[in-house]
Amino acid sequence: MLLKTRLIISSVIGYLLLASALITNEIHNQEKILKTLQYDTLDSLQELWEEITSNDSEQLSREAELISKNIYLIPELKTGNQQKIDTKLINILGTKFKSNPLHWIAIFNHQGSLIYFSENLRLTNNFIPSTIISGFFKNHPHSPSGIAESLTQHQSIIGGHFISKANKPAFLVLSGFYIEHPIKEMSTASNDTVLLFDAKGKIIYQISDIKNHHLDPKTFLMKKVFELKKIDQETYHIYSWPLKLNNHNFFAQLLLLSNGSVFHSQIKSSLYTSIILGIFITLLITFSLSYILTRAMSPLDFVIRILNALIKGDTDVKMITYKKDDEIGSVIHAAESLRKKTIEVQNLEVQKKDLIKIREQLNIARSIQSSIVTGQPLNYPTFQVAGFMRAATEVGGDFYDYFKTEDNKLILMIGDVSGKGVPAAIFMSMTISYLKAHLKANLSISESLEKTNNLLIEKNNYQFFVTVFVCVIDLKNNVMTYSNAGHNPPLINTKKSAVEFLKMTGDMALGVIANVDYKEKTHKLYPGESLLLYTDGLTEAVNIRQEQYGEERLTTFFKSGQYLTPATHLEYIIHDIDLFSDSMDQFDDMTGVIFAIELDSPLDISLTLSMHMNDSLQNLSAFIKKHATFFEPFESKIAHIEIALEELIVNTIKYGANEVKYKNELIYLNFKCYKKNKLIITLIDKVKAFNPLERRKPDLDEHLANRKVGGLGIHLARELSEDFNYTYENSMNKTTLVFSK
Amino acid sequence: MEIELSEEKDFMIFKITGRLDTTTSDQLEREIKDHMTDKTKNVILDFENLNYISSAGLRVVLMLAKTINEKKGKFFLTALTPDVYQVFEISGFLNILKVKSSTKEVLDT
Repeated sequence: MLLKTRLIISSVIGYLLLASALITNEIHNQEKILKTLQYDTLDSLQELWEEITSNDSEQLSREAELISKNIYLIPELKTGNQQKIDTKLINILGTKFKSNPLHWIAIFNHQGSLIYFSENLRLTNNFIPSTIISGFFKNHPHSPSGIAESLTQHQSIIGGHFISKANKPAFLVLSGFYIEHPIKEMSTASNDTVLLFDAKGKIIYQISDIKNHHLDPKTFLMKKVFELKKIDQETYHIYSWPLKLNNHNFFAQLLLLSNGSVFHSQIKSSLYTSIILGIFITLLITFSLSYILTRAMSPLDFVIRILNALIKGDTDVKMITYKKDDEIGSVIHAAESLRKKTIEVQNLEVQKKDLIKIREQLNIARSIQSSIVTGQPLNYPTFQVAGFMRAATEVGGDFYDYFKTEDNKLILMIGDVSGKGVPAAIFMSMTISYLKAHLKANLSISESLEKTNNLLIEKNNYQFFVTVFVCVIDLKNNVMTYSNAGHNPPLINTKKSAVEFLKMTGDMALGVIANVDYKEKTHKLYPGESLLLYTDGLTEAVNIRQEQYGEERLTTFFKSGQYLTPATHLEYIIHDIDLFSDSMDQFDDMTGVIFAIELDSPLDISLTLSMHMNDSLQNLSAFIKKHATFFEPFESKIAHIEIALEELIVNTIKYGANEVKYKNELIYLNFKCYKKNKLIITLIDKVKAFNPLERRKPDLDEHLANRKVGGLGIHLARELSEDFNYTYENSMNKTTLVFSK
Repeated sequence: MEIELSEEKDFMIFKITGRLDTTTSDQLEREIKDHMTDKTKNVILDFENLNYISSAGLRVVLMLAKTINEKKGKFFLTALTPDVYQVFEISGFLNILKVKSSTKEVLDT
């Protein structure tokens, strides 16, 4: 369904809801008015009645007295001469009706005969015919017993006129007795007369001789009333009483404003009007809304066209001008923004292609850089050297280099440019080129550094600086001359003691200030010793907890890998750093160079065995048998190696098998053989931390009867191996065993 | 692992060939339980052909030694190969167990 159709429908529904609410409200209001009116009418009647009845009792008794006196004014009543009374009454009535109907009371017996008549009444506001009549019957000695009660019970008093007060309708028409003559009978009587009174008691219509009209008096009467008052049947209650005076029939009529149902019909008609009006307005609204909406939404067609064009990539679509600041305006504005954005995106696509080209060139730059920086390991019987570099970004700021000179010297250098990326790399290659050129030109280290420093400062627009360590090793006597421009000191694995830092010269990094005098120092190296040059990317490698790898651990691993060739040794260290950092991205380049003297053609082989928790230990024996050549140098120790491993594996299984979550864990065994005379075995498992070094040594001097059965395994493993170590990191137990030939 | 059982001069002799490790030590333990009676007092473990023993094996040896000790019997280990000897030495068992160069030597005395 289209948006505008939906809008129109919802508006119309909304209007209808509103209209029905208003109509309901109107009905409610009308009913309220009606009720008020009704109550008003009844209330005023009630009020009047109460006023009348509460009036002066003296007055009433005087009235009663008067009545009782007046009754004798009709002597015929006393004598019971019906004929005479009737004649008199007719005479009286004949004149009274024509003149003033308010000053008489006639009392009829149940047969319609006049039993009392008084014309001498003062009809005041507190005149109450029923009271008077009641009083009359109570006081009159000739009244039939119980007639007063009968008057009240049957409401048989009828008024000859209305009493009015302040123009409010009251009641009573004509005094008389209630008679039960059927109307039909009445209507057939001769000289039928009909009297109509208005609300104030005035005769408004009078007709005699109803018979001649061939009408039922009541129907006729009603018809007449309607004609006169132009009101419907429900408006009034019409009480009619047929009266017979001698041979004359009268109808006394009481018209009372009824229960206000006139308002019902009025409401009904106003409701119909409202509904018709409602339908009309609804139609009007429907048409006008659809017109307005169609007009208002026509700019959206443009928007749709624009969007379709943009989808196809056509950004040359013409925009319409729409100046109104409304929703449509916003949509058009958004479409225009989208068009601009699309143009931007198209431009970006072009830029992206350019970027890809740049990246390709960067990769070329990187390979050029690595060709500058990295070199193949040199393996001579008397010395070996190897380097390693891993850049944190595509192009790094670290460098190293080593080369042999014609006069049997080896030059090693390592450096770290402040900053990374292409600018750092360019600065780095400048440094390397200058330095190398000077060193190759047989300048001393000190001179080379100084000249390089000055040259770098000349071109250093970006305020880079570079730390550099350079050394020249005389391969004839293994004396190393070195100089340090702000670089971290290299480590030496000395024969006599542990690893130590090379004594530093403590000079400024290159590129900071001109004309620095770089001092030189010398150090003699001995066979079996090795030297590690590195950048702080190694020691400052971090793990997920932001802990640094640190010098201490580097020192340990530099020491423990001393039997390895420099290339393998570097790999061994980097592997440990990777294990430590657990594949965390590093922010700094990592670079290292190892130089070792007189490693006699070392053989490095590495074997790995992984075992399941439920694998048989025979796998281990089988593995050793299978790699007999590998283990051949350690033949004499093979039983000890196997016992130590068995103890450790059994121990791990004992711990691991206890918990279901470790059931599928593996135990890794790595065997490394160095120089055919050292075997380093590393066991790694991921079961819960267990440090065998913390296990108490069994008491070996305990007497047989008291000797404990357990705790021997770890003791055996520690005792049988030459070196035994344990670390726990990255949720892994790592036990290292060393065996010698 | 193979176990050869014999009795000579009040001694029950278990001659073990092969390896006494985590997988095989249970077998020796069962064998000992099956053959030793209340009357068995003196036992020799002949290790002439034993070339491998781990702590699991040591455990069986120690338990057997304790049993004999309670019975006030005699218990000997004989003909230990150098590797096995070293394991016993490291374990401190040489201080509490009697080791002889051969079974014959024990029987002859």
